[in-house]
Amino acid sequence: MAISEDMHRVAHHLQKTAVAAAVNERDSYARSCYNRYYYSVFLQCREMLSDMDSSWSRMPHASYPDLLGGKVRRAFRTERIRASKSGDKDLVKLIDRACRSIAELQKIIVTANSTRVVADYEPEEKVDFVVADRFSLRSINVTEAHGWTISVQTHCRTILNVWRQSNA
Amino acid sequence: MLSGVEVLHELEEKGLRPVGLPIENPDKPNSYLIFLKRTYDKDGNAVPSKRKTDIAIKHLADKGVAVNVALLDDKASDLDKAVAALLAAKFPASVQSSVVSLENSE
Repeated sequence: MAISEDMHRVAHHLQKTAVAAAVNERDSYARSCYNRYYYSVFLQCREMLSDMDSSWSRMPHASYPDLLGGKVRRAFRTERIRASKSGDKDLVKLIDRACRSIAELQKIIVTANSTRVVADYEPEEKVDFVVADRFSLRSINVTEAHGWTISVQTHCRTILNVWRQSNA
Repeated sequence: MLSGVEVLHELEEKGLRPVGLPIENPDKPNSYLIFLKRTYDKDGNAVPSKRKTDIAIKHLADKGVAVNVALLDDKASDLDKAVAALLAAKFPASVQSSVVSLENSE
């Protein structure tokens, strides 16, 4: 978590720098800020996946949403059937929550990565400085990007908790 | 592979209007990233619906193009803010060091 927290701090620093920067510089700072917010998301997800299965830490980041929606969700479904048969209602509830977290995490990863791609590969598409201290890129407000880290942290904890219980 | 403009036309034909042009995904071949704004009608139904979105994506998948959708959902974002506010009100001490401090330092 430490590296992703550092990444979040760097992103936030870039966010504030972008707002305070001269007009000709602020676009570059703002793009970099989206890029760092994405990497904070990516690093947390990688850490979680690595805890779940060490071989997953080497998977390309673009495969994370499919991995979560495929192997991880299937493992949870199997465990849910087992828990349901044995009458473990608490575990069933936890698994349902973890499945919702998977869906939310997939959305955040795709949105964060898509915004990062626009920031890195589409320099002609300028960051929109709408109001004094806020900006957006391709309609993704920086406030939303700022919130990715804590949302991902919550979802990763939920998923990892169920994974550990299922594989204990 | 279809160009970004062609992908956009295909999506529009299926009733989807993404924000901006589809972007080629640098991490996956034959893959595009799109940003899609989701709104809600007066009955609370999502527009475009998940079904309509899935049909359009399947249509492009049949043509060999994978599409990843970044959803811009104002309602979900409002809900996140509402949950954060509720947590801050109910558990001020424990939330102070996470949600609230992040928001304040933003």
